[in-house]
Amino acid sequence: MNISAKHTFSFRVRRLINTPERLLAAFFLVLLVFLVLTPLVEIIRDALSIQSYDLAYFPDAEEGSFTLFHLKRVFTGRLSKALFYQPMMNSLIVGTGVTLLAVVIGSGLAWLVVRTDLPFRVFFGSMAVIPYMMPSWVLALAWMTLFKNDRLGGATGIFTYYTGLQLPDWFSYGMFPIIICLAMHYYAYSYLLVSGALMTVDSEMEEAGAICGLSRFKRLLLITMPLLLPALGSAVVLTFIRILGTFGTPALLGLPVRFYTFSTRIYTSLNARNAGDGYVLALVLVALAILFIYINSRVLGVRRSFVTVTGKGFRQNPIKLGRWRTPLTVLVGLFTFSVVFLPLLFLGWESLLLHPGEYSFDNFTLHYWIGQASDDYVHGDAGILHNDQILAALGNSLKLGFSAAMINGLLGLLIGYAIVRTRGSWMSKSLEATAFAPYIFPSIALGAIYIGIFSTSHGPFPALYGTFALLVLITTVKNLPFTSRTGIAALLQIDKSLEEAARVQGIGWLKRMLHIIIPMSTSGLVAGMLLTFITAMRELSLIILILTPSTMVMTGLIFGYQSEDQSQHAGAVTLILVLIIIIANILVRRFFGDSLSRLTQSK
Amino acid sequence: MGFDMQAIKLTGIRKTFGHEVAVEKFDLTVNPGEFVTVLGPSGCGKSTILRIIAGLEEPDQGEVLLGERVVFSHEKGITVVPEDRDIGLIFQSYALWPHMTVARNITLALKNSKVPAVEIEERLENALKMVQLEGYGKRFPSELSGGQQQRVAVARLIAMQSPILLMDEPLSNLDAMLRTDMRSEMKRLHRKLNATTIYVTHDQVEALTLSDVVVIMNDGVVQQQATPYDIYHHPANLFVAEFIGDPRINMLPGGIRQENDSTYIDLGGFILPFQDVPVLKRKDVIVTIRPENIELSMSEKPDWLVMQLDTVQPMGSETIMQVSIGKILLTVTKSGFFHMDVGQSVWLKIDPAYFNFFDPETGINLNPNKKI
Ligand SMILES: Nc1ncnc2c1ncn2[C@@H]1O[C@H](COP(=O)(O)OP(=O)(O)O)[C@@H](O)[C@H]1O
Ligand SMILES: [Mg+2]
Repeated sequence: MNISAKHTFSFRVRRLINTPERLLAAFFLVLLVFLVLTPLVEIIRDALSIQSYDLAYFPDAEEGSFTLFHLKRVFTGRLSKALFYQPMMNSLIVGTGVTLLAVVIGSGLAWLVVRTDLPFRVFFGSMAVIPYMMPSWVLALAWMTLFKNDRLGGATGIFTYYTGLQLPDWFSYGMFPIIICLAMHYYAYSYLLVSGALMTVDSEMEEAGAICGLSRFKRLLLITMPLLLPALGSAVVLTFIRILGTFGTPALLGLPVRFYTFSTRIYTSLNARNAGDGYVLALVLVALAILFIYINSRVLGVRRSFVTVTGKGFRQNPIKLGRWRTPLTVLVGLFTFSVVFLPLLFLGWESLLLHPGEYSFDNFTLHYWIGQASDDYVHGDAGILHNDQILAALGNSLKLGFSAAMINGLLGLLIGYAIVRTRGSWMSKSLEATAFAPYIFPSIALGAIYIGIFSTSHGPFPALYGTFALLVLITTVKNLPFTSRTGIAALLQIDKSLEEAARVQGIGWLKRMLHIIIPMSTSGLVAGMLLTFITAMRELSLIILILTPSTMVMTGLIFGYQSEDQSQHAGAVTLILVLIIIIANILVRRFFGDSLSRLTQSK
Repeated sequence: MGFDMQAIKLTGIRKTFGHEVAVEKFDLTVNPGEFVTVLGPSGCGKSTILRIIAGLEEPDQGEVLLGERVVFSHEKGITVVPEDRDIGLIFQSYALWPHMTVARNITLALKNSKVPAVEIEERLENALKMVQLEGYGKRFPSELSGGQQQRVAVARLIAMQSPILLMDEPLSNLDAMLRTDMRSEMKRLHRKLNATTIYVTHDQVEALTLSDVVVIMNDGVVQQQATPYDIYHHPANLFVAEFIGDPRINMLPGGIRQENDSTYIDLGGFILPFQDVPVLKRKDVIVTIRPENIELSMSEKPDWLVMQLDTVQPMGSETIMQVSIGKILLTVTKSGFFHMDVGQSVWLKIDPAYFNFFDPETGINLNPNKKI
């Protein structure tokens, strides 16, 4: 009796070691709940309780006691219009405007590239995703270089320099340029999602419509569009949530004219040590995002995503553009040129100006690239190639990109493994949902939440505020929805029997992972890691609140330079950053081949 | 049904994709109401032909007539878009629209061409009844089995009442049992609808059982166009001879010899006398004979050839046997179920009257009009 019990026990231990998927699932569930859900609870608590900085208003109150003070201030107080209603209106208008523009441009471009006989469409296709690799605010910087007026004092932009005309404020700053610049960046998300979906639509679906006598327009309306609806829905949600959380562009183009969105309001609140207000606003952002996802899934989710019913003979025939071919080619060419090359060109130009605002040839200098520090010039900073601050930031950015990519790759693999192998259990479902949860936090809100929670220590987690580890942690968590999805997708490709064949030969779990699972899922994992690297390198909104001088990264530095009117430095550092991201991208693709071509950040 | 039957006529069709020639010098005439099958191995250009007729693919050369109407002519520069050709087409993938219900899949075209609502309802009912899917109208395609999806595609075709039906391997995605059932369904359907039909398949059984005329293609070129009987008995070339027939036709290199006014044919292991001397001028030929045309006996018969039995495969209604003499292997079928000892001797009667003769270089039938 005793012996058999012992047997059972050792058997159980062996089984647990050899098939640790349940153990893994439980571990990650606990970890992720802590990393993702407790912060939310924490800031709800903070938003509803008296904070130390509130004691100025309530000298008698006890820190931590319950209060509706923050809510009142934000929603009904004297300041509520400036704090909440105006930024909300602005965010919603910007979000709607950008989403509309971006989805129309992105899906139109996707259709042209995937389905028609547009010339150079392979080239256009690879150019279309380049904005995705740049920080979203590169266009805002370029806009300033081009259209800055004299409102802020200081130098004006290229337009004014050559025409002598001052542009109106609404054109140079605020809502209008913010919408344009964001749309010219975020169309890339729609492009990726919709082109992916288009590639799976069998053109026989449309041809069957033609046979039935439907005109080309009706085919688009009745057949193609409905089939793309799920992808369009995801594109809308993804773009809208990103716009709600984006910080760089509204800050660069909005703050100079006191045009606030939610994200910039959260930033200023937290900077002004009014964290309570910032938390309330962050919570509203999360709520908005959840509401939006919910509406989307109610509208589209009922009919689920269409598993296209196809047999053999899958084929796509390019649609002939006929007389529209030339005008469309010119249009797409111009668009590509102005969103990909022009911004970089302008930033390069800006970085060469000895005195800002003078765009003539005689004013060119390489000082801001290679010069030594000297007091002759505006700020006396050394050229970026000699500048310790910049080199340190470059080091930090790379360190952040690499560590986040590595950790995310490993997490994606293990979480994907745990989810796929425990499929059907509640643990699998909750782990999947939790790993997806960071998606609903707009970037700036997640940053705000993480400051809140990691300013003190929690169980095994020390107070991480001000450390580099916090940057890595938040970047990792923000990218989890994507990496866990790549992990799941990669693991689903690997039939369970491949692992079982190894098990029956007595090969342990670690060896199976090393020799079977990892080699077979390499391409998916590398794609996920590359994407994390890119996102980490160009990230600003997520970490702007967390950055400190010792953990400064390139993006933060650029933002700093720009706010201090050192536009040459800002331009030069941006160029270097974009260059690094593109080179990394090319290198990884060179080594890992075409399997990465479907780099999509899907829902 | 409410339409005039239409003929289909293709002349001199050529179609290339880049450098690859998909169809070459293709001619085909289908009489009104006829059922024509295009048969060939996969990749030989069958789908391309259908798509050209439907207007989904534009040929580089040639002319396409539907009824009296020229719908494509390279010379005259005429192209009619598929929307205006009034044909029915079943795609190999069925191309059911996954986001529409079965009913909507079937009625979309009718609504589009402004057929009165009452009639649409009637046609829908009728079509669903004909494919035995009554009550399935509200389902989505993904909620149906492969066979049901195929029947929805057929129903869509029925409801359209087009005078011309094109079908691209409509049964190839079904399992064997279902395929046999649906095969007879298709035949019944054609008789009911009376539409001129072109049916593409790579399955010779479908081609032989269904059609009035079979067109055999290989590498984009028509190999033979004839009735199933002629295709089977008088193959135009070795490709057709080998492609049609299961088990495969026997093929032997032979030499024809004249001796003392009699003609013999030397088939390597044995020599046969030739009764009716054909107009063969050649000495070397390739001789074919179908397995069922060789008689086999298990007991000794005078004048029959004695060979050794190598394998026996009883199939139920017939038994397939392989026999050999020296290096020569022959396949023979005998109706009935037989168990025999491998290695034993059997006696064969090979009647040269069943022979077809082919040119060993070109593979062309040297005497295609021979009566068998
Ligand atoms: N859209 C296309 N682009 C390029 N090649 C094609 C296209 N359609 C067909 N082909 C080529 O033409 C040949 C004939 O194809 P198809 O008509 O589909 O053959 P089948 O239907 O007999 O299997 C094949 O070699 C195929 O690769
Ligand atoms: Mg085909």
